[in-house]
Amino acid sequence: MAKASSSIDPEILSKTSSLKIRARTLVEGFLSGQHKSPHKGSSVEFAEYKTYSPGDDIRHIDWKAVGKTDKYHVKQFEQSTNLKCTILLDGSGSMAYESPNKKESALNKIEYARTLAGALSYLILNQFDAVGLTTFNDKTISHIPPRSKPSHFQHIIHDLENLAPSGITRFGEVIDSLSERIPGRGMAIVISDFFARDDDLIKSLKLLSSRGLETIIFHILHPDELNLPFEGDVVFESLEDDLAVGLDPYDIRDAYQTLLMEKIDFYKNSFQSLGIDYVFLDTSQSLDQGLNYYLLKRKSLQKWRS
Amino acid sequence: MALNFSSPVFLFGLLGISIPVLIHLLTRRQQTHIKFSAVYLLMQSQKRSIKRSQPNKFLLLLLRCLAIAFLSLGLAHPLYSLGTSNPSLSITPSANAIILDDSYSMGWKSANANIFNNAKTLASRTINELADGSSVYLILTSAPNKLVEGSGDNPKNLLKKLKFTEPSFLNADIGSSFSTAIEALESSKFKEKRIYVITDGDKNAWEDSKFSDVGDRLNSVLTTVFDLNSLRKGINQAAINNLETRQEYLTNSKFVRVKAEIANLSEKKSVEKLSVGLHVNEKVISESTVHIDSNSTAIKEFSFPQFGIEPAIGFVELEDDALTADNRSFFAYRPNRKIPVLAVDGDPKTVATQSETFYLERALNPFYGSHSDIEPAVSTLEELPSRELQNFSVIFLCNVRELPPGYEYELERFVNAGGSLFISLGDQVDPKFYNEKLGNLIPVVIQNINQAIAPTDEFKLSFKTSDHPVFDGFEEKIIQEMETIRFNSFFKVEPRVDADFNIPLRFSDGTIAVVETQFGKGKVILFVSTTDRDWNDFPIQPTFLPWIQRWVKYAAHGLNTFSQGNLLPGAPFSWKGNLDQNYWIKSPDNKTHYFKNSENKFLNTFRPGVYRIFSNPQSTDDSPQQTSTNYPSLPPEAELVGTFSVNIDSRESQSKNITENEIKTLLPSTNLSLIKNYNDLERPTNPTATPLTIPLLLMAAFSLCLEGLVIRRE
Repeated sequence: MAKASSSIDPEILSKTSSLKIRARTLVEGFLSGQHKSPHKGSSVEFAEYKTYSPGDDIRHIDWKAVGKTDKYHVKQFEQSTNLKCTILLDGSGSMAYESPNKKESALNKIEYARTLAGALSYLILNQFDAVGLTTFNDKTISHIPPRSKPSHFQHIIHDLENLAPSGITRFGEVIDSLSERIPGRGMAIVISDFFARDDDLIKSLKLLSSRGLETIIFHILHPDELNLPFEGDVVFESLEDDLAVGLDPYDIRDAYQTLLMEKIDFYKNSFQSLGIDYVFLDTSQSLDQGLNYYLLKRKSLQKWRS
Repeated sequence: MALNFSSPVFLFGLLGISIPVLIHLLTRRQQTHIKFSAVYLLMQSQKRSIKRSQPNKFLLLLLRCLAIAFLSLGLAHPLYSLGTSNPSLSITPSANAIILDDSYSMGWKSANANIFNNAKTLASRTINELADGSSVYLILTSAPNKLVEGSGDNPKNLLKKLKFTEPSFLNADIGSSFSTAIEALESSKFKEKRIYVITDGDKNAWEDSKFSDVGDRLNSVLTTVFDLNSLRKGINQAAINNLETRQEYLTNSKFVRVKAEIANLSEKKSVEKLSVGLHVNEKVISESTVHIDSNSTAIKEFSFPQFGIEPAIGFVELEDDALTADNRSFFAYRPNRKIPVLAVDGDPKTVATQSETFYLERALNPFYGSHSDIEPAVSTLEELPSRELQNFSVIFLCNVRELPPGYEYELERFVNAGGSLFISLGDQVDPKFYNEKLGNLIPVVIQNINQAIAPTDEFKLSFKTSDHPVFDGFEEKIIQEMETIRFNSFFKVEPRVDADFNIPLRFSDGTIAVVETQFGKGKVILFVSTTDRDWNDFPIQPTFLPWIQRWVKYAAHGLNTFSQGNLLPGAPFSWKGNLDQNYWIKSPDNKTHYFKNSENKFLNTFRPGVYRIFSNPQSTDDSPQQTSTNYPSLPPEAELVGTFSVNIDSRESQSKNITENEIKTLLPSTNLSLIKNYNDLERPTNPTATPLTIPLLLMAAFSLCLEGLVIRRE
């Protein structure tokens, strides 16, 4: 698998203009030789009886059992093993960062995120699971509920392509509102650069995981944002709502990198403590790492279920 | 409330602010704009980071500019006062006269280059501090026209004039300046009248006689005298009082001697090894040292060879002291040019001493060598037609009976073209021929011979009425000697009708001895007696030699040496040259002045140095107009005909300071306030004014320290 993934180089991918083709190429290359989904054709299976209590759906009362026992029993079915996955894609202004260095080989952050989201969607749909997409900045930009139809991929790709990053990042409200819409016991994949002065992030994610959602976080940063490779007098203009600041990057490079690493470590530790998977990706890295993570997660989920 | 600057020239230092600004602009790096995602992280990092390769550039720039500004302002010695800084100034408009001493002694060194600069600063301040609408008259003590043009109601204009005023080379005359000031103030409409005198307090400038009509007219005038004597730096150790140049007469020496009289101006201290240098024609010829006892003079003599005919122009210079104007004395010495002379002997004899021209020839060239300025050649009457007359400047006809036929026209042409003819008579002369043939040249009719019968009747020359330039150089003793010469015979002459001539010399009985007339460009001189011993004993007298030589030089237009006189600055120069001729005078500052001789005086002699006189023999019609700004150019064919030197009057060199009592005696009726020992121009005359120099310099130092700290911190 690793061998196969190494062939999917972001530089090559960046040359492919169509997001759809890009996502497919990525996934198909990645999945070549993989087994098919174990959940194929699974339907509603009986699990056990439960004493009726008000509020239970009367459709599920097993009238035969009522006849035999004179007690109301409700039939309970094993839930579908089909996964409902919602991808949360950060569409704030900071995601629009493009390197001023035209020769830079790394993908743009938003392109990288789009490709990752697209590829994951394709992968999920390929496995007959349902996938949805929510894009957001300080509020929800668009929301596509999870569906497992193969044609659903078109909707997702359309939304991804039309996403124009703008505005500021605010996780709190968005996740709070989404957690109500996202069906429980599914999977949430958050793709963001986490450049937000939002202290509610951890709290909101806690809420998500408490609702039984498996959460994977993809933290995406451009290499420029990690290394701050600029020189001379630079005026940094914010892609969000910060004031412009003029400085010599040389002066603050060390401090910046330390600060950033502290932030990454903080996220890593916080998410781990919440049982959330945290994957850090910089856009020069191969995308299959993200997909790999998803599959591992999916597998472990399967084990846990069985 | 006023802010004044004692040394406003330092305010130019404010321009220095542009240096850090320029450096800042030149070293400013190109800024690039980058749209970035994590700007808030950058800001947080900036707060954390201690490293800063670009310190607060604007703060540094500001501190550097401030340091320069404070330094410049501090050096300009600002004085801040709430009121006017001069107590004698009023707040209502008034009429004011500022008498500014611009004599050469004001060039005495001071902390501000020279005292005159201090005086100008003080005058400017006084003008600036006057109430609006006041009228100001500026009077320079040494200028002949003392009131500075532009005086009156336009003080700004006057300030501009003041800026370009320099000390003159003349002595101050404060008494006359007071008269001018009073006249100017009397014409003013303001009731309140004030006179400010800014001087170095030199006593020579306050001549009693000049104040005779001043005292009573000063009744209602407030007079303030600023004595800047105490600002003087250094001592004026010596000055050249007098300079003489001469060439040994009657010797074959070509050495010009320059004798300088150098005065030690100190009353107590002798001057050891004062270096004195002789400069001739822009070269240092000799340098040596002299020792002069206190309060006395020393003579220093130099000599240098002068072989050419070009004038020797130079100066003697003393080593530098506090007053440089009196350390240099100029001279110009013009050696005589070679004058070719042809003497026609009308009575040659086999015994040389009996020949008519024997004494003449020896008088003209006493050494038979090439040392004399005059080159005589003797010719007999027979040889005369074969001579080229144009090769000679002067022709002597000595006792010639009559000329070869038609030769009178040759002579007329010769004289008309600028040659000169000297005719001496004698027993051979045929008056009829002279009267008929030479009537055009000789303005008199030669009559009979006047002969003394007894030795007691012998005729004597009389110089009493003579002011001819030929006799200018003769000392009284020589004149007296010449008046004893005995003439036993001479031709009596009568003036022709309408003839234009003058009579340079007469006999004691009033009869004519010498007649001079102008013919064309040349001169004709008739001496009614002989140049040998036949009719007089003049040729064997010692005075005969200079007398005849000077006549030759005069006749040959070579008599310019009298112009080597030494004038005082501003003294008129008069020139006894050809009245019809136009002259140009080149002053030491290389400006050419046109000088029409009929005006008789050249007045523009204010600058010490050597003045050169040029004439244009080709033309007498040129009369270029000279204005104050436009100087005529010297015609290319103009010839140097004379020089004269102008040297300062060293009276003011020996400075004696005038006392308060002496001023009060001279100005008895005025309301006088004397600010003596005015030695601190930085300090305001008003004690309420505060000098800001030290605070500003401290602020400059503080700014620099702060700048250093900022750099160090960054």
